[in-house]
Amino acid sequence: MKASLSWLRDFVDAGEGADELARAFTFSGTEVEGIERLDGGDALFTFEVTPNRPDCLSVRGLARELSALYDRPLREPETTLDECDYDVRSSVAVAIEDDRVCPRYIARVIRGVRATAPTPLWMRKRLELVGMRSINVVVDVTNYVMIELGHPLHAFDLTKIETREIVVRTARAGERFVALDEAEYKLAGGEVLICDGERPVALGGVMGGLDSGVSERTLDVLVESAYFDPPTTRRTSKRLGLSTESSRRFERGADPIGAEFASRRAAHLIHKLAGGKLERGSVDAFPRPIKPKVIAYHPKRAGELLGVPIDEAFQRRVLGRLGFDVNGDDTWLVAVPTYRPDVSRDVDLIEEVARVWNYDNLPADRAVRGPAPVVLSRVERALRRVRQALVGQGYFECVGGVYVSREEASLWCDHEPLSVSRPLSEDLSVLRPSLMPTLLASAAYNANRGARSLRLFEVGHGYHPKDEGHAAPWESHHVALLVTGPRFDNWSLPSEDADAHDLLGALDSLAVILGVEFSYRRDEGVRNADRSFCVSVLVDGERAGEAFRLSSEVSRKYDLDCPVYVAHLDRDALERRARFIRRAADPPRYPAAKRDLAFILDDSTAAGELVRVVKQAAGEICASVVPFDLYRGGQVGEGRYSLALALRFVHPDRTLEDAEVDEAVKRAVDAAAVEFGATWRSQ
Amino acid sequence: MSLPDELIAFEKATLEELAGVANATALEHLRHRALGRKGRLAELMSRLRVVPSGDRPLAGKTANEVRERLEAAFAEKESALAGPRAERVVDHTLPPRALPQGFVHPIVSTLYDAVEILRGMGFAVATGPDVEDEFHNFDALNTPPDHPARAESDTFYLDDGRLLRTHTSPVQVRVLESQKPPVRVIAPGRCFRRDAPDATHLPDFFQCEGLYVDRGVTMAELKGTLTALAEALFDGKVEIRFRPHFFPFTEPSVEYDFRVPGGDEWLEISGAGMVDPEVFRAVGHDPDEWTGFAFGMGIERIAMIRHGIADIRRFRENDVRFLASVGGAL
Repeated sequence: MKASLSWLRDFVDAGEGADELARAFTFSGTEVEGIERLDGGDALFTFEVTPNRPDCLSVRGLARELSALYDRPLREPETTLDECDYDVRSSVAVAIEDDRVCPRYIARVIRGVRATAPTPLWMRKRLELVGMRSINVVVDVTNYVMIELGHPLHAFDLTKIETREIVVRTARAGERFVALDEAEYKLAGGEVLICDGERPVALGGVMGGLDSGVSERTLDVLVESAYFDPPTTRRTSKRLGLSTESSRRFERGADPIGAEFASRRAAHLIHKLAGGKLERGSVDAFPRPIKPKVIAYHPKRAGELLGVPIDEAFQRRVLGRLGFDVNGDDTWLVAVPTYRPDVSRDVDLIEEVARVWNYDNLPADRAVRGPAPVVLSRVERALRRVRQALVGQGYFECVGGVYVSREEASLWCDHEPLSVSRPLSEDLSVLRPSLMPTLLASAAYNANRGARSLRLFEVGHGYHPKDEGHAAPWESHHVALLVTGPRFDNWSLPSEDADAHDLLGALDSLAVILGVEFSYRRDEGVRNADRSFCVSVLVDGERAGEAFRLSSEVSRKYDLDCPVYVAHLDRDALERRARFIRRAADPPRYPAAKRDLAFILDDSTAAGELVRVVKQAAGEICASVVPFDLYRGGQVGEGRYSLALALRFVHPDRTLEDAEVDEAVKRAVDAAAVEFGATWRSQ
Repeated sequence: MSLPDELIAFEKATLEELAGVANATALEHLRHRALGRKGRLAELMSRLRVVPSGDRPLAGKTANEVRERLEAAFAEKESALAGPRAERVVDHTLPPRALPQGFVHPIVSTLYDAVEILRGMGFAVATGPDVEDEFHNFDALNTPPDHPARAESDTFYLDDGRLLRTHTSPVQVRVLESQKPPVRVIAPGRCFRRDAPDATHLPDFFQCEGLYVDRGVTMAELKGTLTALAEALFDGKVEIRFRPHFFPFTEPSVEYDFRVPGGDEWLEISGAGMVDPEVFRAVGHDPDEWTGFAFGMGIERIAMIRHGIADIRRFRENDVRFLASVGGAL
């Protein structure tokens, strides 16, 4: 909404400069987006009017704001009418068939106008400033009054209204209408039509018809000032894709009482500028008069809600200037002007008072009171630990977007992905079913910019359509991590690529900090996994996700050259099993005995299996068995490997005798031989 | 041979052997054999018991002296073996060999900070689903059916009429439905709007909304809460300013701005206001008994101000160089 300073000054004294006035507007709720300096000290304001303030879509409404802000009287524009003796009700009739969509219709008639009379320069300039071009003096007046008072009007060439009866009805489905923009519209039914008897001559509240408008040849003018129902206007405007200055104002709520003032104003201006004879009175069809709402208001309430009392005399003054009629002493009865459809309750009045009072006067009250349950949820605690563990392992947290292409999503789930009905693009048409597509996209983004060594993780939701287990679309919760590329990036360290053991190392840290134990089971069913490494991850026996090497096919899709290792876990399983308070372990009080043993094993024997058998056979005094060296090569033979184990023996109550340890070692060696045919190499 | 003579002979032999020791392992073995618990000296000293009492003082004295001399000789040999320290001085200008350091995403660390500050002010954290229904996302928040935000051009709808939540306010509605006031909660989380990505918009973003409902909650308390939050978030004195605005779910409504330490511009942050009585009615509470304030806060916006980030799309690219520069710790 645009309005010039000089136009505002027609309604209210405003000697302040444009910048100060802009500040006053902005800090009372009507934001000034821009000020254009004009000649002669004038300025053009561009306002951002919030949808609840249709009254500010007019110069008078904006001036009323200034009148309240500066406590100055608001002037009324000239509306004196120099009527002739002829009663307008003999010229035209108005019949409203559906007063729900059109509660009021006012018609005035001026005969014998000079439509060719020039529109005065001051009016043309003001119209131009707000982006409206001059058409002819009659139409210009209707536009001028619309901007000035906020009430859209329409002027008809009366001779084109053959029946001399304006019928306001709703359209039937399929009816056609040719509007002023020369386009033909097919109506759905329910739109408001202004008709000449049967024949539509205007789309009520939106646009006039092509044939019935005022042209330079027009002599007799019918001025329409009506009130159209906001939802109907909005529906019509949206359906037909026709948004006009008129429809915008009716959509937000015009003023049914102010329609009469606007009608008088337009009649006054047309008569003054284009001459003719102004017929007496108006035809005012107002079957169910709308009365202003009255609100019961205790002025103390403002102070209670805001936290600081606001002077009652001030409140009364402000409300008065804004057009509210205030009566009463302790409890006020406040009549709400009909141009304020947004005000109906005492909180609305409090806002009116507060915004003029200015929130800079509102102190910052920092008192904290009331009950406060402040327990961290288990999920929050678990995620905090997840982040701590992974950050400590050198992982970077990624937050990816949730929208992916259908193709990407189907790589990662069996079911149809959850789609949105109007996506921004094909690439963003469905919601990710897991974190994999977006984590890989982050990896690809970095790889394409030269990063080779990546450790990434993400915490987030996967989205799924409804299925047998869920009556509505549902979300799963995950933690995923990815590692690829050289393990180290330093001149003094080897630059080998990360492998599965690095991923498992990160998972191990995660387990320690969550207070759980992960175990792994080979699972060839894992999607998009390379056969060399694909395991289910179990947390305390419960399946919690998978860890795998990404298949080369999928790696290529994401331009990832080095082997990529990922783990995708279920957050809720982790949270369920997490133990947040760890039990202390007493370090042993007596020195441990150490023995190193090396075994030659078949490739088919997993290291963990040997460790398990050795530890069990060695007995209770064996505190740990840790592989510390793995060797493959000529000496060991094809299909075999040598694994060196460090055994530690400790007794809680005393130092162990050599003989006891020797016995335990012998048991271990024998068991390994029996179980795996493992031969023992001495160190 | 007398015991003292044997002791002296043992000392001589040991010193000869010691001279030939070339490494630490050999030294240890010799020490063990000569001076250990079951070593030669111990064996010799155990024979003091059977020496005639007249000869005992000399024998004992000799034994101690031998032991002292041998221990000194071993100590000297040990440091000789350690050798002169390497001559090369460390070049500390080479890149250090750090263990890899990871980072929490800046959105997460910002959200975490805001949550912790608000938690300290008595707000409990409430969460809710990303996929919501129209009632909780719009109707209960007094948003009329024809409000532009509900249009398909602005909100992502799913086939069954549900939608991706456009703010975290539905969580607050759910809290009010399930709990009698007083209520003091924050709802952090991801929201979704049909905005084409550009420097200041993303189609999914993070918010943290707050709600405090009690008897006699005031707008001054809203201002106080936001001021305290701002000062903790920006680590210094922050000025706050309210501008009247309009939201369907608050009345009065404001937009609020911060002026942060070191800056002289007012920065637009988000919206806030006193909970509209219609919202209380929608969830079954009496607006005459309860008042409340609510505020929103865009986490990307806060992070962009805190860290000097100009383009919101950085947050989704996850470029590790960016993450390393602004990623945080918890």
